Amino acid sequence: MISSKKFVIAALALPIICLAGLAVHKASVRQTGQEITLNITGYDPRDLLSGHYLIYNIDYQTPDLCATDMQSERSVYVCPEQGILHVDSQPRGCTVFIAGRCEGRRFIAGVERFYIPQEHALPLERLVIDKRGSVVLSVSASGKAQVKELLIEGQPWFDYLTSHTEK
Amino acid sequence: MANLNKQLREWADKGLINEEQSARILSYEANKPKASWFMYGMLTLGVTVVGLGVISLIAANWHQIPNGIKLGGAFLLLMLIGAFAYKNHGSEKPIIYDASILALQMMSLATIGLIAQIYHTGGKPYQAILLWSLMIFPAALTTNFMFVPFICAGGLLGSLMFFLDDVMTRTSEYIILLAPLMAAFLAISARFLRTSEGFLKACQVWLFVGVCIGLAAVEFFGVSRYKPTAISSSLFQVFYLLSILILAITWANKNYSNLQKILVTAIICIYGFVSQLNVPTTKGEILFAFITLAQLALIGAFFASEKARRRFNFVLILMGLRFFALFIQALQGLAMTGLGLILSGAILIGLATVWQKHRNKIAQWAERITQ
Repeated sequence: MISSKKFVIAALALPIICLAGLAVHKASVRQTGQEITLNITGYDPRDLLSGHYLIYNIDYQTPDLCATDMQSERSVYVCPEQGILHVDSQPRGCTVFIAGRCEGRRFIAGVERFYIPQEHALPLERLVIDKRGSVVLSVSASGKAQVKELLIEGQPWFDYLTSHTEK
Repeated sequence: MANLNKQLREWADKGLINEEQSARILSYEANKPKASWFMYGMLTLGVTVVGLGVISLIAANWHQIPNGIKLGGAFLLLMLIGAFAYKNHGSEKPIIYDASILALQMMSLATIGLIAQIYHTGGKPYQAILLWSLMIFPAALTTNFMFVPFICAGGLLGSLMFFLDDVMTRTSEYIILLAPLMAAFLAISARFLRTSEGFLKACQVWLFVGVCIGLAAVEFFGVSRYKPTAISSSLFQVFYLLSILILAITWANKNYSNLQKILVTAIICIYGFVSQLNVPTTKGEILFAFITLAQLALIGAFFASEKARRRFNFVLILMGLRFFALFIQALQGLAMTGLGLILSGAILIGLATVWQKHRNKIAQWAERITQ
């Protein structure tokens, strides 16, 4: 069975199909979701597979987020416009809510990284630490968020760096 | 070839074959198309290095190149490698097929990195490795040599451990107890499904690694004074589920004799029992050492019944090392430790001498009693 032609074709096609599915899924969340912009603070580590990235904390404008042990290991939904959080159930009457979970005292929604070219890592890291950064998120109807753009003082990061280098 | 020459000379001297037969065997072996280990090693190294280069290039993050072009290029390369691998499947040069599967494996990893970079995904490293090893797993089953399945199986087992640790809370370091069971499940399933020789060998290597880790962990946790009282029950549910699956597949495999099935059952049951034991005393250390030796003896008996002499010899070496450690554990005080070390060394020298002289007889005896 394992050496049959059909199995070999399926085995060779599987990684390509899975990766294409992953890319299409990510692209669809980015394209169809609602946009929301939130302020960030953070720093710059690197990963061997995908290069440098900024890792940051997002200000969800929600007090007491992940402040109690009760919220840990459970599904948490944040509604930044109302400044409230919901545990285990999606919030009603909220235009854009973000789904995630509490890891310790930190709310994790899978949007805490932004990959950047190595040569821009240092200036961007400084700008983000100076609290001049924000991220544009694309959020699906179920609360699944994805990072769309990193803004510095309201401008896309590359435009900001280019304009400030020229000056 | 040098080994074959030596063996043929020995057989000819003993009158088992004549000179003409010896010459014909030599000529057949010399002209047989076969994979060169040197060629395989160099190709594997070359593809791995090129793959790492591609991953590094992607990691450099070429911001000026549009994402669509980067993704399109990656998928085009994946498809070309896939087509090349398919073209070489079943050809007379299995090395080329294996090298192309390795290239597919490396390129898939690079593409995961690229997708993470483009869409800024914030997952954990083990999630990428788990996805990668699951995607490439069926292709690894079709390879002829050991390297690709070895990497794939290692990635799968390692990332599954991290995954289980993540989804089950309060497992602490006890998650490591699952290592031998997961490796055994993979190895026994591979045998049952009759996968390629390369895949089987890779699973066996990981099984040995898993067994060593598991036995050491059982002893360590068994004598530890610190024992978390609230280890997640889901850890033991997975533990028992894996044990049941291993036993079910073993008993369903008609290629195993009844004795082999009983041996596997005994090993799993003892492992399941001692992994729950906690005796934090000096006597506990000795007790666990003897249980480890008993388990190794059962594993050795299993390999002897399979006439797998290399694996049997390896288990005997592990038993020798554990005996040596037991002597040191059992002795107290400098004078006694000194005497104990001299005695242990002398025993090891004696055992090695006996082993060198009579290893074939010992292996044959073990094979005979497990028939």
